[in-house]
Amino acid sequence: MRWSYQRAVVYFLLSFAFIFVTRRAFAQEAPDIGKTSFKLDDLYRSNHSRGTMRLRIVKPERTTELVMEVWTRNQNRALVVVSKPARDKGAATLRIDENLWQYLPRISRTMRLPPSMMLSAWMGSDFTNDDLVHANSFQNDFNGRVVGRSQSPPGWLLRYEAKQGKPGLWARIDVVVNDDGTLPFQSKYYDRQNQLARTMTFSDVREFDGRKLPAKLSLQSTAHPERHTELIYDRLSFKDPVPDRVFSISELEARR
Amino acid sequence: MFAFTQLRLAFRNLGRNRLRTCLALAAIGMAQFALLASAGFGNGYARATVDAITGPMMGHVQVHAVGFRKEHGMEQRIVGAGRAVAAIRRLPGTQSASARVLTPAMLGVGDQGYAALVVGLDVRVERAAGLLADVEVSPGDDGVLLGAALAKLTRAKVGDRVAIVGQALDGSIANDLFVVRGVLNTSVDRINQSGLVMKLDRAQALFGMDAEDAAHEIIVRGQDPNQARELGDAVRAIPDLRGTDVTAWQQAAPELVSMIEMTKGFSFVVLVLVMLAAAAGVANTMLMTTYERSHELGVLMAIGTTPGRLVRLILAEAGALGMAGVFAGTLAGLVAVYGIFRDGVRLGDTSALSFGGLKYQSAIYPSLTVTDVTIGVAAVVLTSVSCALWPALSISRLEPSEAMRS
Repeated sequence: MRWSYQRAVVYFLLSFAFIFVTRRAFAQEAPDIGKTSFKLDDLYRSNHSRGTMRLRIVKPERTTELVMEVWTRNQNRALVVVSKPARDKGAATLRIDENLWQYLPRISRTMRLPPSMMLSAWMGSDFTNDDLVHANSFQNDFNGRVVGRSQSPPGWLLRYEAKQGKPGLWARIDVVVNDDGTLPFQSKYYDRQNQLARTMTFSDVREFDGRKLPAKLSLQSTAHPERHTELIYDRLSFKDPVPDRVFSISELEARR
Repeated sequence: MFAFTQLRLAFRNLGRNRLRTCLALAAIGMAQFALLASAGFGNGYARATVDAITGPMMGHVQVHAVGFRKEHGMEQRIVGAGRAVAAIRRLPGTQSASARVLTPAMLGVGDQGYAALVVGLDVRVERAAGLLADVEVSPGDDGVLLGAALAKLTRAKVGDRVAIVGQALDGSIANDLFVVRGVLNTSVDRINQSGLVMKLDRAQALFGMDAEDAAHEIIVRGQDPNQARELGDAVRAIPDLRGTDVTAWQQAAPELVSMIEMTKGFSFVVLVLVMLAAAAGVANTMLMTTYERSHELGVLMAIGTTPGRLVRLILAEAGALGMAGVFAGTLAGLVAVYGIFRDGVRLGDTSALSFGGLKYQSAIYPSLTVTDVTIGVAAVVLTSVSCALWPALSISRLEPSEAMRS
């Protein structure tokens, strides 16, 4: 069959278009660092949130699990109350700005944690009291850039280096995110001596009130490889407002 | 008899120029006195340091679970501590043994929290020789003793009710209220700054360690701190303590051991100075004495005194000079150490002075050993005789006529 000139051009253009589209489809574009940083900062935050979470502390000798109710407001108010096990029921941690308060129903006492105890373990876990108060802001505290593709876990590797003059524990945080930069898979925290201090793994992505979030956070300290801590969100709601009075010491003590 | 005669001659010759002899004696005596005073003070300082190290906190031997000394983890505990302590007490070299709970906690005074360290201990044993030595108050069953600096920081007073919050062994939140029964001022900085001292069984109950009769530390005291390593070996061999970390105080505080070793080095320096002073005093005196009496010594040789006997005579003079000087210096040193400073050398107010987290006593009690005295005596005599050897030999080699003419 003789090919007409017009038919050849059409086939050529179609082929070109096919190659162009498929190449675009397979060429993965790096996420926008600014947008990703915002997403990471805002991951579990909103104006209001309330939920139920489990704190599981896994050690060679035993595994301890606490069930807690949590309320947050903006980024500087949080209340965590233990509901299980019975021996610790009612114990609570209240964050107001930079201050942390602990309430113990057994002795009916509320105490403000001193600054010297900010690096102490929170509830015996690998999280510290400082983690509750000074959550890192990727936008404000770090300079971020896309390093490239990560193989394990697969995704985009982003590097956040602490800005000059900004106080904080971490000199650098390496984060592996999904292809569109909306969800983290893993964060590696490097201390001021540039040593890997801990690794946080995000998994079990679920939908909470219209948001897709990792429901499980696993924290592994490099210094203690024999143990780790898991924080599992069973329920998280962003729609119901949380009144300000929830975040007060008197309200805390009234819960007993 | 012959030697006695030589000694008599030697002392008589030394008495010929009393001023010069006295000056030489004074130099040698002062040097020996300085050596003994420095050795005495050094011994007292070393003992005070060992007492400070081993006394209230560390003991002579410590027993811990492996890893506790580095990490101080709640789970790093000795299970069955009571049984282990009983076994240690049966060892021949043991004077006392007791278990302790050591764990960080938060002290709540009013609505303010403070970082603290809970120390649960055997009150009876620690009062006899330990952290509560010279402490009259007891924490009691529901009470706690606060370190002085912690009490000042928190403004807690005796009779106040305070909260103690920590991490129990099973992972739960340990918390309870205690009454402040007293304030502690110990020689251990750490206890003064953040110590919360309570009875051992109370601490075990608070942190859920009672079911296992667990403790974080066992402190052992023997008869002699210098025998700590041997005692540690005996403790390590106890079946109940297999797999634990047993350390003698020298291994637990190597930097403080280095400090004690430094004082011995200092004593050696003083010894060298003593020998130099003796050498200077004796050499000068013997040189002058020998050459001034050349004529006399020449006469002696002329009438039949052998050169060897002449040398022995001069050396005897040097030896007698050294012995007399060192005797005087030793007497002065002994009077100083055991007479004047019998009640200790006061260092003034040392309440703010500490090293390695340990406060020192406000007085050092000097002491001497036979070795300290003997070393000085031997060094001086040896130096004296050595310094006199050259003038003695040079005179003995002269012809009698030549010596009589000089």
